[in-house]
Amino acid sequence: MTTQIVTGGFTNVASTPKFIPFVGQINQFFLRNLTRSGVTSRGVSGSLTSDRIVEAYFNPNTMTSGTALIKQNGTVSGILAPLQNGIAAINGISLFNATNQALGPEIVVNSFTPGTTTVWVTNTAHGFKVGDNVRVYDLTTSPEIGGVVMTVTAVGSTTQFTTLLNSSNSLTSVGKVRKVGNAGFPPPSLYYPEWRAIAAVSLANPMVVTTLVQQNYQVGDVVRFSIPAVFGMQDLNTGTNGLPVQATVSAVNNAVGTQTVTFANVDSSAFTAFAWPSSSSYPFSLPVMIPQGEGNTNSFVVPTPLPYGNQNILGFATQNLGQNGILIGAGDGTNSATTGGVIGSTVDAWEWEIHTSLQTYY
Amino acid sequence: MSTLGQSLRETEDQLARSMMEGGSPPINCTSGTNGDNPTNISPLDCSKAVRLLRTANAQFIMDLIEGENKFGTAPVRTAFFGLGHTNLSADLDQMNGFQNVAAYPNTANLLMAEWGVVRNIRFLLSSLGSITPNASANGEDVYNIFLPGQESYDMVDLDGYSAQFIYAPPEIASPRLRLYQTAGWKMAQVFNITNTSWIVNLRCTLAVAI
Repeated sequence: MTTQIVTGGFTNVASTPKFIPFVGQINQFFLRNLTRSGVTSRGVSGSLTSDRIVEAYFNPNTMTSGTALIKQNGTVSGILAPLQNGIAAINGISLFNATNQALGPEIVVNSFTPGTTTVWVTNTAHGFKVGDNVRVYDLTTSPEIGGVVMTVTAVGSTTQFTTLLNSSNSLTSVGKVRKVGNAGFPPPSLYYPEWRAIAAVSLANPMVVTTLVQQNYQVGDVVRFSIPAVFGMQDLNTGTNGLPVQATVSAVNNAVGTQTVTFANVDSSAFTAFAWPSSSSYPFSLPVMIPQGEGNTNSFVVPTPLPYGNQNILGFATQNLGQNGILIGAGDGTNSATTGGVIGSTVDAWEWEIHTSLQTYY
Repeated sequence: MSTLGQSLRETEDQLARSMMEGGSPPINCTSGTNGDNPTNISPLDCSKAVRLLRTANAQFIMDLIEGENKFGTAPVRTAFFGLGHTNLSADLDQMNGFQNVAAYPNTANLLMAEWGVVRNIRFLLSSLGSITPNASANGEDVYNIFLPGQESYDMVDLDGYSAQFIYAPPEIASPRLRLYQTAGWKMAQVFNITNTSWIVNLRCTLAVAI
């Protein structure tokens, strides 16, 4: 009987949680911030920094998920910094199972500002980051947008955030919100591609569809639409021949805050406008874009010689995206009880160890 | 040994469920009475879902069961299967026109999970049915009822790598002292949707609280 140790490293994206896929059993997880310890690594210059977490440890058998035992630099003096020992109580480390993602805590919504994008104000600090997927619900005077999942596209303050939902026809409301995922995490559904709720559809040629969360579609993907009558734009459901409208994706922009899919073969200039309805139409189904298959992309790209051109590359095939692993939270890079998180707002080089024990005694 | 078999099949169920969660076009129940969005399931919602599938030329799964001269029974329409969670059983019992399997004129080929029929949907309920937590407008759990038509999804397994039960006797599992034996299963297979027009996710909440 022995212990298996797996090691690795990564360079984080600023203020963004990091997911490390790992299929084996995880007994102990060790993490070191090389950059903030003064070590130049992975092309990132070392910078010994005061008040930053430089080591983190997590044992899923004995510690609360989302926390970490951390060592944080004290005030730097020359080329040394004292180490302080403590607990990161929020945005620490947790085991991650894509199909069983933990929901965030329920946070009270005080109001939102209706508009082409929606600015939400919470009663207490929400802790959301750009890229988090959140669900709003219990909106007493605007139930029509309750239950919708949206990506946070901007964080104005600790109690304010923005999403791409067009709420122009809704009334501001109190309600609740909770985090349900993150655009950078593996999706909760094991299989790709997923349907996506629509935030907006342009009246233009080519037509551009904006989704409430990232869609991860590819150029050449074929989709169809299911738009309930209360949203308008029934032109997208069924063509004049009575068959479902199919559209081929010609461009994708999955950047958080943009989240668009362009259809060069659809001219929506003369369509009925698409709009989220008011509460008088409640309840209704979501307007969705549904992956249908993979089309011929010859009309969008110059055909390339075989074996690459004119072929079904199966990039849109159903793939199992389910992953287990370790999730490292992001905040301000300290163990602050309100704004803390292991990963900070800087781009740093990290190394990690995962220990798998074949015998453990507790 | 039988527990391993159950583990295998339940794992397959979970994989198929997850595939349907991601790929089935969703429609909300809107004709129920609980005031949520989606509402609780109603006969009209069942009809709308079936209409959607039939308009897309999805084929029914089950043939009709003809009426027979038996007290308390009624014929059963040609039907799609509705794959849902066992928590839906009370809501189904409360629905106008719901016919429990006990009132089928012929029960010869029933599946153990079958609960009954409404309009053109025969419901198969499982504790592994799909639930999206806190996902309704009022923050209640949403129950996903998948209605697959014929050939709307399939299963692909690596050649020669479908479910295998593997037993290792003591001579193999612990050859030195032959202290223990092992048994387990493995598989390499995946489910995928073949036509998203032939499957629907009918989303609903509960009217009968847990």
